[in-house]
Amino acid sequence: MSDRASDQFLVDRAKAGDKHAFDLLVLKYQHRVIKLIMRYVKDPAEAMDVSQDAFLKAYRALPRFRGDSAFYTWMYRIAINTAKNHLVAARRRPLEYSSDIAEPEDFEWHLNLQESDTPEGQAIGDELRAAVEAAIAELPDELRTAIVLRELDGLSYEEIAQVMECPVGTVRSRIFRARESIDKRIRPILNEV
Amino acid sequence: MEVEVTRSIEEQLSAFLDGELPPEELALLIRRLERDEAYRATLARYVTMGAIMRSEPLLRGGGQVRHNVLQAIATETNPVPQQDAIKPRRTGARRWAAAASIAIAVFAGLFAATQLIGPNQTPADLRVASEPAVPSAEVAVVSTGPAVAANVAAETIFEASGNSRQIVAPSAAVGSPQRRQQMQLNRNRMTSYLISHGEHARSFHGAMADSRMFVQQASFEE
Repeated sequence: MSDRASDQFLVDRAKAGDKHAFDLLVLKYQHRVIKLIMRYVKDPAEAMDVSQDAFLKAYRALPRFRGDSAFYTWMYRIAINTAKNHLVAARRRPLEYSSDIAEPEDFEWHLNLQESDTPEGQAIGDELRAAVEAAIAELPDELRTAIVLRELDGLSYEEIAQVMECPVGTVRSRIFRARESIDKRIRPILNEV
Repeated sequence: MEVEVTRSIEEQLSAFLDGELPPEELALLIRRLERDEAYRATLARYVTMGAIMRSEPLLRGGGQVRHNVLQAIATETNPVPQQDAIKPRRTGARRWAAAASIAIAVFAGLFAATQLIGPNQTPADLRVASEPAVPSAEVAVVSTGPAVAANVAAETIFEASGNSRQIVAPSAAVGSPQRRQQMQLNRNRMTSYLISHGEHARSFHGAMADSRMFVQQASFEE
């Protein structure tokens, strides 16, 4: 099942009234949506409000989502419109951005990690980032390669299987084991927050 | 044993996050996620580590967005269409569908008109054929083929084009004086129309050159 089909499954359930299905979509895409909205709305607290608004609009517009595009592509447009409307309402000028970006796939803007606007938040962010980097460095080669190809290069399991010359089931297992190892490092930090 | 089950479910969570979970496992996992907060927390951590790897922003209140959205939609019964959300773009297929609908409607209209008045008739023909002030059941029916029923009186009309058609009318109505008067009026109108039509048909060659010959037939033949 592809990412798109998986999302469509959740969308269909959400349309049928399963709110947890929509919650999973929010969970999956909230970081990307916040990152996107922060291109327009610099203040982190405002960006989160706008992200929340964008997800609510998406939820209410679900009956009109026919699956012609991927859920995130559709969500991406809603997020941009919501951010722009927010700026208009606030009578502010948007941050500099390229107006010809049509699809999220074209989005190559690297935002620096902005853990928080507070020193404490910044410290937690740094700690998390260091923990993830350390965990990745300690991974066996095959696990590290698998997780990097997935998380950074966005390859599907089948593509990773071709690159690594192993079965798809092995890729699934390697990616999970990599996440499991990283999780052991970050869980204590997140539990403290 | 329990650890193995948990690991198996966590592996499913990992595959789910990547959109790689088979449909049969997906349905079960979603039901499990609905019930078990611990698995949702694990999934959230998997999402977070991916965000860190991709240098996405980690806002302390990030989890609050999800919480607030869930709380807001909890009060809504079902997703309701909203006017200010993004409008779906009209795709090419939808434009074609609209054009096809119009074309079908036009075609259906033309087809109905053709069936009613015959393929080579004009609206004026139709007016002549249907004008009698009689109940609708007695309105003449136009056919392009042979007489449609044995109990109808038919009069054949030749057009300038050389095609023929038959105007048929219920025989029961023919006998009344009023009906005869109406039919005569119709014939006069038809004659007048055909004369007029014949004048425009002079460009035809041979036997078709002057349709007034056929007008005579049409006017006096019973």
